[in-house]
Formats: sequence, structure tokens, C-alpha cells
Amino acid sequence: MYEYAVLVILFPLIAFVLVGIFGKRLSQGGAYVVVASFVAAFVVSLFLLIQALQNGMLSGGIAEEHVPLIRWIPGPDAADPAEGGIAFNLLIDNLSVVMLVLVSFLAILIATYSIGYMQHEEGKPRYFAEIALFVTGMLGTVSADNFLQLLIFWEIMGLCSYLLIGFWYHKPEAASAAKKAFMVTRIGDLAFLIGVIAIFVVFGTFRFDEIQEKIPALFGGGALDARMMTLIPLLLFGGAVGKSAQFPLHFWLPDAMEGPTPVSALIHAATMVKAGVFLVARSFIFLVPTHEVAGNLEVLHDAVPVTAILTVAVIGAFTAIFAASMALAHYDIKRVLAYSTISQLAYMFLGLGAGAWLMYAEGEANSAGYAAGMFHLMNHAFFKALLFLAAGSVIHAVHTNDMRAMGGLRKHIPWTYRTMLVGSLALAGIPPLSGFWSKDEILAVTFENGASNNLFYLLFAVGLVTAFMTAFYTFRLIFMTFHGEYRGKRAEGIHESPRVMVGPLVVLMGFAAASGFFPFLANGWGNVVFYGEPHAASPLDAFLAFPGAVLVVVSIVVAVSGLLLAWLVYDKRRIHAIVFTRTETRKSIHTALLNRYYIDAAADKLGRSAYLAFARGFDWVDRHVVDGLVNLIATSGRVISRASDAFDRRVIDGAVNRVSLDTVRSSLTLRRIQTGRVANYTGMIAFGMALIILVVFVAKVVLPLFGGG
Amino acid sequence: MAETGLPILSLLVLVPLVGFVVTLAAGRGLRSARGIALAFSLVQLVLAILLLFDFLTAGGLYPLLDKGSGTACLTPSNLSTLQQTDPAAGPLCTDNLGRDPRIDYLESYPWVPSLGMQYQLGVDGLSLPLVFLTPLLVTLSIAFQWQEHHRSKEFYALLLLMSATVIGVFMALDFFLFAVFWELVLIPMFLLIGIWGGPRKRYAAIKFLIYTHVGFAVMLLSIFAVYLNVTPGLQSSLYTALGGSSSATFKPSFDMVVILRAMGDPVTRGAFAVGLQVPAFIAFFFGFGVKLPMVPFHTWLPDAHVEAPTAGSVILAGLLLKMGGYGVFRVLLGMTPDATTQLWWVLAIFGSVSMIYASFVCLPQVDLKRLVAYSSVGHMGFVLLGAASLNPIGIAGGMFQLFNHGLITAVLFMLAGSAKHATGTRDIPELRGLAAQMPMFSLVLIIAAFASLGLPGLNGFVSEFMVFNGFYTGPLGPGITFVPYRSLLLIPLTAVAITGAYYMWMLHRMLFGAINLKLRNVHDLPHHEVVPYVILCALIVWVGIYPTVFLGVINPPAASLGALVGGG
Repeated sequence: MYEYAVLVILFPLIAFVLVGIFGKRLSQGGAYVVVASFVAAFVVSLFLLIQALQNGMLSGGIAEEHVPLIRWIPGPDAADPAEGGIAFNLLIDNLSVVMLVLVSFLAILIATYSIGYMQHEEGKPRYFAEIALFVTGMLGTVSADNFLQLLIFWEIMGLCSYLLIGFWYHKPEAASAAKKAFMVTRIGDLAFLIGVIAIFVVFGTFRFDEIQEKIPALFGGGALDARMMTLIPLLLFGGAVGKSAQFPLHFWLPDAMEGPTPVSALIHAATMVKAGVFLVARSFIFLVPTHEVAGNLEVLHDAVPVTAILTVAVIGAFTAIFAASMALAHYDIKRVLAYSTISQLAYMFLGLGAGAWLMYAEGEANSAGYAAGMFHLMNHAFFKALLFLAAGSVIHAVHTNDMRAMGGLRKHIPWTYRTMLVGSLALAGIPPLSGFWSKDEILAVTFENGASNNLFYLLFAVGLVTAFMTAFYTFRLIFMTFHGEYRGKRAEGIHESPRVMVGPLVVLMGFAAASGFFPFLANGWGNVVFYGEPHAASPLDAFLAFPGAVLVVVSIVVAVSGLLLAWLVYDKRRIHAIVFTRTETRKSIHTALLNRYYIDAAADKLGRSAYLAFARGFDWVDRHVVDGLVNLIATSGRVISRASDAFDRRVIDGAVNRVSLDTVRSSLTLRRIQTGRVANYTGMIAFGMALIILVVFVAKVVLPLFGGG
Repeated sequence: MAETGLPILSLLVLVPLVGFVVTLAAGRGLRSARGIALAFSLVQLVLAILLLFDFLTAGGLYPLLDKGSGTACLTPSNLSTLQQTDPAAGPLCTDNLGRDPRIDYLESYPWVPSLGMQYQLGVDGLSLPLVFLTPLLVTLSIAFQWQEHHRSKEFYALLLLMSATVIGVFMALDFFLFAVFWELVLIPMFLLIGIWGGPRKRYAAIKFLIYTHVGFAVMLLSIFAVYLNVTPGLQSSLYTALGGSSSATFKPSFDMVVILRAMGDPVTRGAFAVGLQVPAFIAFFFGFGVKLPMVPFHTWLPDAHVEAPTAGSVILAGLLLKMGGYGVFRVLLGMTPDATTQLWWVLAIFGSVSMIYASFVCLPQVDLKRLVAYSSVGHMGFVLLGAASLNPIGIAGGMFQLFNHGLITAVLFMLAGSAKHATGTRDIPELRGLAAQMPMFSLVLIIAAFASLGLPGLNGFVSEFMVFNGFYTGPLGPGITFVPYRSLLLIPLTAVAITGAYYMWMLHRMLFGAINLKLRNVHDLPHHEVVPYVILCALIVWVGIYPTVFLGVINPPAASLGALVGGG
């Protein structure tokens, strides 16, 4: 039914190949080809969405469809390779359709923006080819129908991320950041890989639907005990922690800002880092294993890995506040946004964790937290892409990242200011912009869980504090950048970015403002993304019911007060920023925040020195012990053979020579015996034989008698 | 014994052998020598591709190639050491368990019947990828080292001799012939290192020769033990199983097909009991392990690589190491299955140690070639791990790793050659910031490094993933279980992270940052180097995305070996 879905991946892939090979000869380094391929992919995705809507996407979800891609590993039986092999298919279900549309749409905007941003760069073909490959990877990730396929596309994204962060490879910081990003995420990927293998060992398949079906039957058996049931989602979550830069693998993302800004927007804000959230959403089949009872999905209560759920929620909440705190102090406009991204991603994890707990507590499928997390994913994709692109526009104008050298820019770059302001309001959670809705849903679900587990009250409080911090640092950024007086060197020559850059900003501004209302169209986001019957109230009902309404008020108050504080400090200057660093304690906190709690330095130093020490040690052992032993054997062999050589020359050969000298002498005398007569020779042979026999006799019989030989 | 078709297996050996003689005889200087050598090598490559094609299409090239005529199945009549034939028994394509221990292509002629030797070449799914890889890498090596002015005639001739002997090892199905080829391989490689090598060439060449020769000598013990003590009994039990009278007695034989066939079946296996298998296993394992090489018997490899000319390195890492891996699957698993089932942990330990140890040693290496050499040691650890898995997927992964590593490491060694050629040095710290000056070189290096560190989408990942997957799944049969070891089994996985780290660091140091000022005027790859890169990288990507073709070849023998050693 959806066979044409393959085209979604194919278009960007073809663009990658074309631009990769012929990029130098295409206009704008192949940028148009790439954008066109994204548009094509978007159109196909839209078709998929429309078809899915017609097939009842909003009422209980469409029937999953697996569009065959390739048979990757054939089964052992040559006659029937389908049996026991591993095949790759595209999965078409609610979530993947939405993600395909979202990703391809953002890709169009950001690639278009790149045409302007990268105008004067060398190596544009390389840039656009890598972007095309990246988008292929992301589209493949969200449409994978099994965990292995997901891992493969996931790693392709990792490769592109590496290459694009290191786009300015001659800059040492960029090269280091690229290496760091790849290595740190790879630690998470290793956990993911182990998880995938564990899945195969237990289930004999990688496919989501088959696993989901098998869990009820297998659980309690030998292969799938409670420990394994906890381990698998935790391992998968390990991959998500790496990819989505969650604590403790968070520290690669701020450094990744060394890449070009559109890359930060596309990969490190809107799409790739979301793959971790997406993976956790896909691993809901483990987090809340269900079985079907009379058409309803009911939770298998005993099999629920409570530890895994709480880990996801707690890591989420902790990273949210942890990253937000670092965003408070930084001056690099992109790094502030990067910390904000980490913090917001953590919010999504909190939402998913809370959602899983909610389902566990209620015992049936309930989309509330799941939908909130995925809703926030979409909203964040819009407003964070917008913020990054706007930041790129700022950097484009003033050629620095340092907010201390900005200020008062709203007069020079008004469109950038307007769009960025809307993005910031959305991020800060000011109604009615998009961020408010999803953030509030996440907080509401977390609060609701508090009734069944008090821990969630704590997480709710953390989320609330984070919301305050978010509003504060976001508007600190806005005021430091756009308000007040210009603090840079020369104000003249600062001009607005070209239309090809401002256009995407305006479009994104529209979405950042409006995407919060999308659930109203579908009567709840759960209807759009959830895999079962949503069982969630429509958004308005949820907000108006108690305690929802109170929570809404609380969260609005918190957001607005954060905004106001930033306004007082950085715009009106009623409160001087010095207050944050006045006392020793405050100063040391500020320094710690600027130094990212020293985790970077420690991880760097520890990792590098331990690893190098290990490696050098092994190398030393190899050269001196293992190879030394080999050489020792060789040397002793040589010594022994020298000795035997000497023995051979002096003793044995000496004897032979002595004998042969005698032989020569005697042969001179014996020459006359050489008569040429056969009979004589026969006699000689007989004599020789007799001599040999005598020698053998002596050696074999006589010598043993004397105890020799 | 394709009676009606082309004797393609013999031709695969003979063509390069004739080429060797012709190049030596007719080669006058560089141009004619390399031309002749390339022509012969190309013919061999075409033959190998024909064979591959025929295999994939299940006999599509009939009657040019004829895999029928009873060679595929074992009958009394082609058990060449059997004196009588018993037509009533009929062809025996499946054993008592219904498995298919098939050698798909077989050419068999009596050689010294009185000693039980025959000229017997065969190809199945295990050897076919390697049979394809051999002429491919030799041809590309000739193309790559297109400008060898020093004694060109001998150089190109020896590469052909290399090709003939290596492919002989992969196809020989008679232990005597196998041993002959195995030893013959040493001669051209010894000369390649010894004549065209770097400053320490004599040390390296002799170390290589002695080390691998010692391995061979130990292995020979096992061959003779099997020949003298085991083969008569195996033939007899096989003969009985085929319907002959049980009173017949047999002479010792070198026929590997008979041994494989008899060991493939629990009923006929009796003459080679576990007690006998274990010592044979140990000696074989040492011989193959030295060749593979595995830690701690690996130190000949870095030295040999550092000194060898580029073509020599490519063939050494791409093909010679594969002889060890091939031996592991053909002989260790195929002929001493019960010992393997018991001693899988020996393979696993040596494999894991090789992987982790070599990966760590890679990091501080200064010489690019040395780094790649150590990475080869690490990657060959996967082969042992695959064999240790006793699982069809793991074994297939190990076999596939031989092929994949051949492709990747060929590229990496060629790159070391290119770097030396362009800049005059292979020292990584000297080669700063090459990306700006040598974009094509950098691109190939990035592809090869990522393939080698196991990036999904490139070929290395496929085999490594299969090895791990098989290893953690463990044997399928009842009675043997890996579950008690499962947490220990995680140790080799750390090698994946370490491998990633040293390649990242290498790329970082070589390609990125500001360029070394001394290298401001270096040129990117010359044309004759680009061609091999394009072909190999295309294969790396293609196999990575669509491994199905080669896995279709590898899977059947892996499945039957997996069933043999792991039950199920």
C-alpha cells in the first residue's frame, strides 16, 4: 500500500551520490539538487501522511505496514533464504509518518538557509553531499522497522555529524570537537549494540512488532527474566544518552558547535539528537510491555522494568536542570543554545519516563506522557532550529559568537530579532507559543505520577526550576544580543542576512508560534503519534481539569518570572549582573558553571591519560616482552648454531679433513689399483659395503653394549 | 572434475603460474613485464568472476562450466582411494542428518595412489570468496605498484607466483597438495620482502620465513598423525556407510574430502575420536594461529609489513593472513569438530586477547603501516571469535570477516604506500593536515578507517556484527551452553570502542589541523592508484549495504559447520 515510501530515503541518497561525484560542476555546489531532493522526500512524506490519515491514523492508529527494502542477511538455507535471515523494511506507522514529514520539512528549510550561509565557503559540494547523506540517515532511522536497521542508520548519522562538525577541518578546535563527538557518542552506541545483540539472543528477531508479540509468551521463561527485561531497555537508553547528549555523555554537544551553524540547527538541535528520544519511544515495547486483551492493550504488570523507567525519568530530570544551569553562565551564543538543547531533550526523556510510569501505574495503554514527549520533540525541533538559524544570522552579521561583543542588534537585523524573539518565547514556555503546551503536558504527567510514586513530585519540582532557568537564560540571550548598546568594535556594516536565509526563519517562526495548536486539530497528540488507543483526554480538557489548571498557572508564573528577572538584569539593569559573582561562593559557582562543572576537563584528562597509558603499556610489552622473547629465541638459536658451526668446523670437519688428507695421500698410492676392471670395482664396492655394515654394527650393537649410542 | 566443461580450478592455478614463467622469460624492462603480468592476472580474475557467477546462478554457465557429473556429491567412485565401486550405494549428497556437506566444484586426479595422494582441487562457499579475492587483490596490487623500476621483471613475476600459490592453498583438498602450496607461498613473499623491502628487510624477511615455517612444521605433525592414524579408519567407516562390506581395509590417504565427509557425520566419525582430535587440534591451531596471526605469535607481522613493498603488504595482509583463517574453518572446525566443541574457549580467549591487545598497541604507533598491521591482528581476532561461537551466524561472520578484512586492509596498506609515495614518509606525526592538500587521499582514508572500525553501512560492520551476534547466541544444539560465560563474553566488545578511538586519533592527526609546512606541495593520488581505490571502496560500500550476495555463498558451509560443532 505504501510501496512508494522507499522514495523518501532514495531521493536524498541519490542527491548524495550526485553531489558527491559531480558537486563541483553543479551550481552552488549542488545545493539546488540537495534541496530539490528534500522537497521530493517531503512531498512523498506528505503523501504518506495523507494516505495514513485516510486510513484512520487519528482513530486508534493505522495498521503497521512493512515496506520491503532489502534482504540483508540471508538465512542459512540456500533454498529458502527468507527463513532465519535478517531483512530490512520501512515501517509505516503513526510515529514514523509524522517523523518523516517533520524531518524532511526541516531539512528543506535548513538546506535552503545553508545556501545563503555557506555562500562564500569553499568545499560547498562536500557540505551539501554530507547534509544529503545525513538526511538519508535520519529518514532511515525514523522509518526503521527493527532495532538493527535503526542502529545502522543511526551510525550513518553519527558519521555525518563527525564530518560536518569537522567541516572546517583546518581549525584544531573543530577537528577535536568532531573526534570528541564521535567517540563519546560511540560509547553510547556500544551499549546500544550490546542491547541489539541481547535482543536477538532473546527474541531471535530485531523487529519491533515481533518483539512486542513475543514478550508475553517469553516472559518468565529462561531467556527473558526480569533482569534481562530491565537490561535491554537500559542498554538501548545508553545509546540514547550518547546520541541525545544526556548526562553523563553530554559534553560532546557544546563542542559540536564548532561546526557550521546550519549543521548545529539541523543535526544538533532539530533531528539527530532527537534520535535518542525516538529510540526510547520505540523501546516502549520494553518499558511497558503490553498484551492485547479484547482489543485493548493491557500492561503486563510483572514484566514492567520499573528500574529502567525510573532511570529514564531521573536522568531526564537531572540532565534538564544540570544543563540549564550551565546555560545560565555561558557567553557563547551557540553554546547557550546547545546547553538549552541538552536540557530540552532531557525534558522529553522526563516526559517519556513519566509516560511509561503512568501506563504502568494505570495498567493500560495511556498516551499522555508518550505523546507529551513526542509533542515536545516536534515543538522543540521548530523553535530550536529557528533559534539556531537566527543565531547563525547574528553570527553572520557580527562575525563573533561572543554575546559580550553584541548588544543592540535589533536595529541592525530586525527580522532576525523578530524571529528569534518568537523562538525564545516558545522556548521559555510563554503561552500561547508552542513550547508552553508541550512543556506543560510533561510537567502535568510528572505531577500526576506523584500520586503513585512520590519521587515524581521531586522530578516535577526539578522540572519547574528548570522552566524558570530556561526562561531566564533564553531572555538573557535575547537581551544581551539585541537590546542595550552595541559592545562590538564597529557597528557600521552590520546588515540583515539575505532573503534565502531570512525566508526559512520566517517560516520557522510561524511554526514555532503555531505548532502548539496542532494537537487541537487531532483531538490530542496521542492520536497522532501513539501506537495504541490513546486513552487520553483532549488537550483542552486536560488543561482545564484540576489539577491541570493550577499547574498551568504555576508554570506560566514561573516562566514569566524567569523572563522578568532576565529583563531586570540584562535589559533594564535594575539588578546588576555582578550580583551573581559578588561573593566568593557565588564566584566559584559561576566559574564552575563556565567550566562546565569541570567534567569536560576531567573526562578528557582521565580518558586520554588512562587510555594512552594503557596503550603505551601494551606497546612496550609488545616490543620488549613478546617480541623480545621471539628475538631471544632467535638469538639463542644463532648462538647455538654458531657453536655447533664451530664444533662442526673444528671438530667434525677437522676430523674429516684429517681423514680426507689421508685419503688423498693414500689415493695417490692407490691410484694404481684403479685398473678399470669391473671385477676390481666390484671388490671395492663389497669392501665399502662391508665397512658400512661394520659401522652400523658397531653403532647399533657394540656401542649399546657399552651403554652408549 | 568437470569432464565436459572448463577445468577452471586448475586454470586458476595454472594461469598465474604460466604468467610467472612468461614474465620471467619474456619480460624486458618495466613496461613489458608489468603488461604481461597484468594480462595474466586479469585472465585469472575473469576466471574467478566466472566461477563466482556460476556459483551464484547455480550452474548458470553450463556447459562452459560443469559442476554436475557427480563431483558435487561423494560417491564410492570418486572416493579415489577406494578400490572398488559400489554403484548400488548411489550418490551421497546428504549425510545421515540430512545436511549437505557439499564441495561444489571438484577436480580430482590420481597423483601418487600408492601413498594416498591425489591432485584434488575444490571450491565451496567457504573458499569461493577467497578464491575471488586472490586474483582481485593481486591484479590491483600490480596496478597500484605500476612503477616498480627495481628488477621489475622479477617483481611482477613473483606477484603472479604468489597468486598461484595462495589460490592453491584455498583450493587444495588434498593435505599433501595443501602443504605444498602452503610452503610455496613463503618463497615469493620472502623474496618480495627481502629484495624490495625497506631498510630492515633482511631481519623482517627471515623472521617471517622462520616464524611461519615453524608454525607449518608443527602443523605438519598433525597432518601426518591424521594421515597415518586416522584416515584408514575414516575411509572404512565411510565405505561401510556407503553400503560396502565392513571387512575392507584401507591405506592412509591425504584426501581432505574424505576426511571432511567422514567427520561431518556422527556415524562415520568414530575412527577419529575426541582423544585423538585434541592433540591434532592443538598442533593445527598453532600452525594456523601463527599465520593468522594471533597474539602472542604475531610479532612477525608488523616487521614484515613495515619492510614489505606496498604490493607485498597488500597481499600479505589481504591474502596470506586469510590462509590461517581459512585453515581454522576448513581444518579445525571441519576435521576436529569434537575438539572444537570442547575447546571453543581456547579460540575465544586467543581471539579476544588479540582483539583488545592489538587495538591498544595500535594507538601509540608512529608508522602508519605498523598501525594497520596491528589493526589486522585485532581484526583477525574476530575470525577466531566467530569460530569459537559454534553458531552458524558467528561462523559465517568469521568467514565473512576474512573477505571483508581483505578488502579493507588492502586499501589501508595501499594508502600507506600512497602517503609514502606522495610525502616521503609514513610517520603519522609528520603527516599533519593532509585533507587540504590531498582530498582524494583523505576521502579514501576516511572510508577505509570507518570501514575498519566497523561503521554500519560499510562491510566491516556486517561481519563483526555477525560474529558478536553469533557469539552471544552461542551454540544452538542441546548440551553446550554459553550462558554461564555470558558476562565474560562482553569483554571482546570493548575492542570495538578501542578500535574506534585509535582510528579517530589517526584521522585527527593525519588529516585535520593546519598542514605540515613541509608538505605544502604534495600532490594527490596519481591515476594508477585511483583505479584500485575506486574498485575496492565500491566493493566496501556495496558489500556493506548489500552483503546478501556473499552471505548467500558463505551461509551454507557456515550452517553445516555450525551444526557440526554446535549441534542443532
